[in-house]
Amino acid sequence: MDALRPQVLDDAKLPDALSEEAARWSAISEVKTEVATTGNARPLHPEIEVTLLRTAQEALANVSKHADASRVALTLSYMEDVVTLDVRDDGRGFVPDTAPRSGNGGFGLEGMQQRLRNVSGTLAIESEPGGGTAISASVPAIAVQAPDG
Amino acid sequence: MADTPAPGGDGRPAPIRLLIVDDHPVVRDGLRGMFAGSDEFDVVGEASDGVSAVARAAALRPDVVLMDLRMPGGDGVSAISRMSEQKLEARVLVLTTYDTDSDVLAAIEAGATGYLLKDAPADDLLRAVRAAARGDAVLSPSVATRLVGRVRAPVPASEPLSQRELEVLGLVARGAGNREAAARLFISEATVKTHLMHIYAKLGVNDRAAAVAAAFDRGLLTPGGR
Repeated sequence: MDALRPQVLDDAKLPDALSEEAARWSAISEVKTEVATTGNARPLHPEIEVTLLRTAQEALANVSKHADASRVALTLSYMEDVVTLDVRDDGRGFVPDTAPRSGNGGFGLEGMQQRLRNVSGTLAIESEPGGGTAISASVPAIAVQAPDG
Repeated sequence: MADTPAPGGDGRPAPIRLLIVDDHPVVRDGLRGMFAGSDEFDVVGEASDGVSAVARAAALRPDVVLMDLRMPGGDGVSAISRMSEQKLEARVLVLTTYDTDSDVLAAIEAGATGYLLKDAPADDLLRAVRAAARGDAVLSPSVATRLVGRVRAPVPASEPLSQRELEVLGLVARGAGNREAAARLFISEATVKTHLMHIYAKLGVNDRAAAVAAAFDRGLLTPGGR
């Protein structure tokens, strides 16, 4: 079953994993990519961390395929009760209700939404033609207690 | 890995191997019955308390453990902790009677993949076991909402604003709407709104004007500064 887990989470915390993912993506796409973490970053339930990492991967893939962006920012916001992951680009944008939600060449938004629902999270999509796109994933901040010692 | 189920010779995937842990024989029988009809699942063992559950999980190497939490002779949360410590690969799906069970959060923190109410429809149970075997989280929404409520509850009104919340409030104080604040910080409007909700709660106010006024009163914002 471990084959299904993104390898990078094995030895890195989520902010580090996102940074690595962003750096790798940026090198390939040649799009300037920033990663920011705000609030009190802390380890979350592994399934929640994996879900956010997958969401980021999917969102970056969408930027590659559709956005023609020159700048992308991933922002991880740790709050008391929720953690949000925003992926915002300055690309061509779209009219949100018209995006194909699944299927080949689609935006895979359905899959992202389903994945987030599994951890009681939500997905917001904000976009307009010419105005870039922001997706925001919000998940409950279920922390993992540090092992003794 | 030797103990990972390989696809069967007939091309179908190997069954999901299950261990059922509950102190009530009737519950165990009922669960076993639900899986008996399908060759997609294989109940490889049962245990009636947490201590024997750990031993059986180590010996039988199931893919998924269905775990009751409250059992005489070794509770479920401790068993889950010990299974995590022993690095057993099995995914643990907690079965709970009440969605108010305060042990559920402890179980999740101890390493459980998800939880389900015992009175969930059989379809939901089968779906949850499949998802757990795949490694997906299984959080039943009604319980998850409660969990979020629990985490939210301890945020006291006196909690200090975070650096990011001060940033958002500074933009608002200078007249930015949510959309402009989002553009300036290059984040989503949804997250700006979430920050604002937390700012309101911490300052004990209901709208942006009152939040700005309260922040000036408390010296969190200074005229001309942030």
